[in-house]
Amino acid sequence: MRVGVVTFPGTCDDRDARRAVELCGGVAVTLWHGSNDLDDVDGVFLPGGFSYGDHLRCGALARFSPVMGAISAFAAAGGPVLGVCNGFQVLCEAGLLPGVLRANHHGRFNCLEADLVVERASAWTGAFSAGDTIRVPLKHGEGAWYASDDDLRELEAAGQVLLRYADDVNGATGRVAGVCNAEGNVFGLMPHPEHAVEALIGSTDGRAIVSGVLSGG
Amino acid sequence: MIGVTVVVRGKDGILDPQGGSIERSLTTLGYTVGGVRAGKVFDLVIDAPDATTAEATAREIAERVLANPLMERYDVTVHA
Repeated sequence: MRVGVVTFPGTCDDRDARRAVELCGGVAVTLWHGSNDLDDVDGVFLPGGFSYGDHLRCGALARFSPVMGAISAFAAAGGPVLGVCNGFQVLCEAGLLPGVLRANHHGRFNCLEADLVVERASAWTGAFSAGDTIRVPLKHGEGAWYASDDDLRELEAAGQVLLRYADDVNGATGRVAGVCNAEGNVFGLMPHPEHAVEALIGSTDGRAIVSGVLSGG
Repeated sequence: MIGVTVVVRGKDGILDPQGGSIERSLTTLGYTVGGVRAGKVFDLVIDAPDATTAEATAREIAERVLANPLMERYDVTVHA
């Protein structure tokens, strides 16, 4: 499976994302923000960083780049798309995922290993099932996912909340860490599964999530 | 060319950590402040034939780009 990893100006986790894709058995393909050619990839990984300097709002300007037009069409056709951290922010701003990311409630940057509770089994959580706790690092200043209480209830009822923080690390509505679209082929989360793919550095729990983009979402 | 100012603010009830930090600093300085909300100001120069058209364009830009309607609201002032 060929997975396109997008590089925007200011992306910094694209190299880790490509390496994680390869470790999980895929072929990583570099996609450039200025091109609308997805190079016939089977899946797309939007990695973390600070696209366009986080100017205006995180992810707000990246959504208008040429590659995002192609990714929107790819997602609409059912192609698997994974967004991590800034990639999650871009997908929310683009309207491909519900909600929006805003500043952490405590006003500080988070850099920690987070325990995440799996809400339900899905293609994005591999062999993990509901109630399992996985450990994945995170690093963000604007990581608090926000949706109105009514919207959150609808998303929960539809099974779109896939991961929650075990502890309230950033003030996210409903402690939501990761959410998918109604069809289930687009998934985004603030924690970094691509940083949790080798036992040497503490956790391999991220492999299940990275593998989701290989298995078709 | 018509000047338009767009002010973007957080919706009421949306947590504003930046405003909270500023408020705490002001308290430290001895000011008695009942609340601080941080926002953004955008001064646009729009190529439009009249003020009505300029305002409509500015509102479209605010809705589509400058504000995220999920958590922000905006006000538009035309300097005709």
